[in-house]
Amino acid sequence: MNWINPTWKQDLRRELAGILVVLLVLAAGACALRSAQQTSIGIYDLLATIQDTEDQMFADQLLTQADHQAFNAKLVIALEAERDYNRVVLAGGAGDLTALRTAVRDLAATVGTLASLSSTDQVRLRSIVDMTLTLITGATP
Amino acid sequence: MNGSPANEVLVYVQLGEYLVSIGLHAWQGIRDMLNLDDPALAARVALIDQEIEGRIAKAKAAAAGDPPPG
Repeated sequence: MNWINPTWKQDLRRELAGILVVLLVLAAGACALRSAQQTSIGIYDLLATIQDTEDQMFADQLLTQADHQAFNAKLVIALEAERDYNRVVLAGGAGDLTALRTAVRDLAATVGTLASLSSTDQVRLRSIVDMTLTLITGATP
Repeated sequence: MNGSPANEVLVYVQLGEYLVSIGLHAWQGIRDMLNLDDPALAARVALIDQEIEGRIAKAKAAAAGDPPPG
């Protein structure tokens, strides 16, 4: 490559290093997007399970009307946070999980206040909420 | 190729073309490797957006003390 200006070789090395960095960033971005999509599906499935479980408990008269209303008020917040997160994931960007994390934490706290639940059912519902929180944070609450 | 300004520009233009081409191929390769274009996954994520509105409406009705629809 004698015809190439000597400084070009240096430029070329710099360009190749730049390409490597860009490729690494692209790979990291693609991994994050893939992971966020799968996380979103997992969170939605668990929130849906929470809603169905809670509905069944209310139908079985394990919950009072007041408990049922209070729990669903929290569930609305968690579902709306998940919807917003899902939309960000759909758009291909990085989702802000803070609202979702807070909403599910509130939901977890509400389970503990459902006095009319039997301890077995409280554990059952709590474990689903904890699984959701674990999925979001990657750690147990 | 004797390093004249015109040739220098030409080489950089060609290098730029190669870089763009490599970048595009690499991006598609990463997408393929991670299965990002998986239609089933994309459809599932899109479907959640529709499903979740129904669940939000149901939870809102329950929070307001309304009986479940149907």
